[in-house]
Amino acid sequence: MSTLKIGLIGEEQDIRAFRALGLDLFPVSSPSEVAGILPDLIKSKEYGIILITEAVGEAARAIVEEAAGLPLPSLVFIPGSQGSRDFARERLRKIVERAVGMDIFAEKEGRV
Amino acid sequence: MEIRVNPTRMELLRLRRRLAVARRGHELLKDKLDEMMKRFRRLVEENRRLRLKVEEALTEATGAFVMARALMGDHATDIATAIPVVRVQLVAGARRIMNVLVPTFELRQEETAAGFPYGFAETSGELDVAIALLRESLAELVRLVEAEKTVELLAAEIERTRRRVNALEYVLIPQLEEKVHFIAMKLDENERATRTRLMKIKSLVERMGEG
Repeated sequence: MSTLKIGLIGEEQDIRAFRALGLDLFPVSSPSEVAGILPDLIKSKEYGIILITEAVGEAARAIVEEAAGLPLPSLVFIPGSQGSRDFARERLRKIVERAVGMDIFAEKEGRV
Repeated sequence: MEIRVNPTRMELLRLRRRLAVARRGHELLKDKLDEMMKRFRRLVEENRRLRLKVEEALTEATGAFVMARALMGDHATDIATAIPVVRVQLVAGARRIMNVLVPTFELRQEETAAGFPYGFAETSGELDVAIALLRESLAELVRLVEAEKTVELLAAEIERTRRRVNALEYVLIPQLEEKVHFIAMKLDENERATRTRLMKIKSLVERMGEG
């Protein structure tokens, strides 16, 4: 049991609202900046959850996948103010596909 | 494939024992895989449900915030939200699912001041709504994070287990079977050779006795 913080990376206008909840905000102005911030946040071990808006998250995909194997922190994509881009759901679908195999993926595909 | 084993009885016994262990291991791992798959499907379903809910809630909340901002102006909104309404703390724990260690999160929201830390005169009602919505969605978001991490970790474990099951099923067990077969054949062949040799000698000895 340990007390951890929640971090939030995204473009200023997307994440500003969360300041009212006392999350740690890391505003970036372009997606490429995420790759500079994220590894440090992961290494600091102070964060249990790091949220990344989908708008800037795509650039940090590799770092996120690398951290997916670690128990902490949890990196999760959230929709920005433009709404969801289906990017996080697409990612989940890929994970499922890899774990379960093609046939079940196809079955899921048919249902969605 | 070339088989390199000593065709001895001892080796045969040893290989048979290994084969039995491999088959048992394969069975166990396969059971584990089936069970993990069952839970995995359930978790994925839940994750999918949570994600939809959270995305909807967040979009609504940020939408309300953008509205409040438009009504109040950037500066006023910044000032109003400069002091957090709640102090959010995350208590992390861990639990095991099928021997996979996954994190659990518990969200603690401590009120910093009584109610909202800004005057209602300078702010619009939309801001209060937006913040209330955000607070609600944050709790759901933490559930989602937990579920997503669990799915990620379990997926990795399933992949690992399946690789091991396949290695046993398609590589190790067939190899062992082949070796056992090879030794059994070799030993049989040796026995037949000995038998014919003995028969030959016997007939030779008999003929010499007659002569």
